[in-house]
Amino acid sequence: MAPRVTAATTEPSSEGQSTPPIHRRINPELVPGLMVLVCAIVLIAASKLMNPGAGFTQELAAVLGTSIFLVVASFGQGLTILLGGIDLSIGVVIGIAAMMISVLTDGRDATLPWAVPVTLAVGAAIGVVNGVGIALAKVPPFIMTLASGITFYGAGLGFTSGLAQEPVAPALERLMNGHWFGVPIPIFLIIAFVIAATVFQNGTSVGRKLYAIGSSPGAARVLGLPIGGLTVLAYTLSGLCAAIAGLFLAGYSSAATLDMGGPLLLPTIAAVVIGGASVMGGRGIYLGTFAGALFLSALETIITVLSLSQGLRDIIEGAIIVGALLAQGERWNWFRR
Amino acid sequence: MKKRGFKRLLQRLIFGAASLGAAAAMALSVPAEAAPYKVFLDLSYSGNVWQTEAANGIKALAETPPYDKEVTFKTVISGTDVQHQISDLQSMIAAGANAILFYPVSGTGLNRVIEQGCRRHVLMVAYDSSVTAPCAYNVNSLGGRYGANSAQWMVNQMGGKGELVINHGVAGTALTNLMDRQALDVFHKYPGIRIVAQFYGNWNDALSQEGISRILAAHPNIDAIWTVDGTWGSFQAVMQHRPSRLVVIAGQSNNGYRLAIGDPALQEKGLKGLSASFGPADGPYAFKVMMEILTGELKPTEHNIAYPLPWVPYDKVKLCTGLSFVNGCNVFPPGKVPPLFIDTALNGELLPELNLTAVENGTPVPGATIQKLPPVQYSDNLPGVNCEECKAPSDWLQPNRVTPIPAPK
Repeated sequence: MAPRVTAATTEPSSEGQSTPPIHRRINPELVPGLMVLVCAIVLIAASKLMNPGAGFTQELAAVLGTSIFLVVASFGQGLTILLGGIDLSIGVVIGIAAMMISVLTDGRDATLPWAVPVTLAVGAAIGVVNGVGIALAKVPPFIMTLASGITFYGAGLGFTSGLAQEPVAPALERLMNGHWFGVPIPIFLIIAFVIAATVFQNGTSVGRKLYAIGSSPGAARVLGLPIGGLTVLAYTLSGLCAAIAGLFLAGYSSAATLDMGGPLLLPTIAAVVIGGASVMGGRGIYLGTFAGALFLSALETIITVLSLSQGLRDIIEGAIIVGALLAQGERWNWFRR
Repeated sequence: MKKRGFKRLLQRLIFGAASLGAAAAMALSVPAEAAPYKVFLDLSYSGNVWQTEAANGIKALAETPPYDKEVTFKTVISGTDVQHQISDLQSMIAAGANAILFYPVSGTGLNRVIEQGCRRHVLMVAYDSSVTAPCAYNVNSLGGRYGANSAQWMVNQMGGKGELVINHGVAGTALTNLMDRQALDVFHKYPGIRIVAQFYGNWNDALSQEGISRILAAHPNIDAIWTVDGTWGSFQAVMQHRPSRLVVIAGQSNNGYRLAIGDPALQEKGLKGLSASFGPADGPYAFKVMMEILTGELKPTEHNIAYPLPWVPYDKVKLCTGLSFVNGCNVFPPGKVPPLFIDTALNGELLPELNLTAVENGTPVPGATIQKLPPVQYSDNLPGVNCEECKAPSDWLQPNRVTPIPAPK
């Protein structure tokens, strides 16, 4: 499952040798994600211990259910970071998508079959603009995506005054707030998304090429990889994922505002970094990012339930991101020894 | 070589600054043959529902007779940066403003430019948020003591006991600190009220919904939620996770929320809601106050003027059939406005000139004329919030609208 094209992840075959210790049998790319996942579970369990009245499954459902926006949006962020870039327009695209789906559906389910593709296409189109600016015009990613985010936000504000005047389609609300077999529907959506995202990133040739470009753009150029096209693709997928997150958020909230995606931007970056991806590009798997998103959601839950002050909450979240970056310096070497 | 380069850079900078200054002056200049009063509206951030509705209401009033003939009106958006607002206010003063209605982004940071304006006889009026400069007028609902009154209303509805969640606003803002202090002072008087969780929902519905969802998983038996905003999101979370047993809740005035608290079917499931909080109609009201001071009709004796706190408990919700709040109605039917539309953008008594179309589009109501305001009420003085060297009333933390119940034994 893990990428095999990067130098960092390629390991000598152990065939014909004695069985290595268990920690050497675990793929090093999985280690940060696994550790973060363990931390998330510990957090949920700790939360349960502090509130014996609460059910573990309810806690788990709350953590998972509220993580779906981050799980989806951070996949796109992860792809851009994999290339050594970043997408700072994600929050804006989420808001625009949420507004669009409200405006286009106007509370009618019958409009969904065309409103959803149009909304997703607009999100992807913003990604294309970002990708073209970065790949062809060579604008640094953070400037390109920041500028496009501000511009598209301005356009959205001009059209809407910041509030969708139309209600969200009821089917979308039911999707985000309903249950199948007693399990919240968003949990099924998360499972499907994680499988699709992992297969794309680590199981397809396109995914492997993204790793190759991220780890060594020079070598990728020599190999003749279509760097420009793949860069545009990564940013397009990022826009698409942000638009999906926007659809989900509009359904969840039953109403859309243009600024509703703003609070999700930094957590998407944090989830990728905590999950073990290198901010320099070329390293990191989606399962790590997924674990990072779950961890952040669990952390948010425990901070909320503990009623920590906003200052302390910010300190904890900042410290965790710095801690994850410092841990990256170690590159989880213990597992390679 | 280096020196010449520096000189050229300096020349360009000076040229650039001069061009910008000229452009700003041109942008702010108003036609010479225009009406007697030059009035400016300086908005802060313009991208949320509250600010948009307030600005639209003000614009609609400025075009309603006789103001349409009396004022030349210009709107400027300063954003959330103090420096930017200072610069914009300076430009307005330089452009010969008679009056400036502004949404202050800082309580104290604008004082110097406000005093500059007052020295040049510009009437400076702040709405919703307040400034401490003594010469400015503040028009807002601080005197309505939302924190204390809404908390007391909830305590009364809860019978003085139960599990409570507090959804704070934005950490570090003067309004959040003030409202929290008033509300906590009331809640702490009742030992039976247990605050089981608190979080900062940032006055944001999506964040509030997530926060309450997380809390409900850990505290499934909560009885009440106190908010200032983010009320609709908080309520949605309860509807999603515990639809058969609802809560006592206080907060904003979104149309969807008002419809819900007025719904007898939801009331039967335990929903007891209060819709209050600062309304966008404060902006147009402040505009009328400003115009009456400017024309000499109103001579206030104090500088902190009260806009009455909108107050609609669940048993006072009344559906409107038309576009205006008349005959005591205070909510629009579903589908007429989005759920997040803030109903307190309208006020049938103090602002009969406005209707739904006016606050949605910023256009005047056909046939409407400006009605004179009833005598103004004055607000609490709060040192550091709306005045500098002043004294707060001794009971500023106490509810002044709701009568407290005795703490149950």
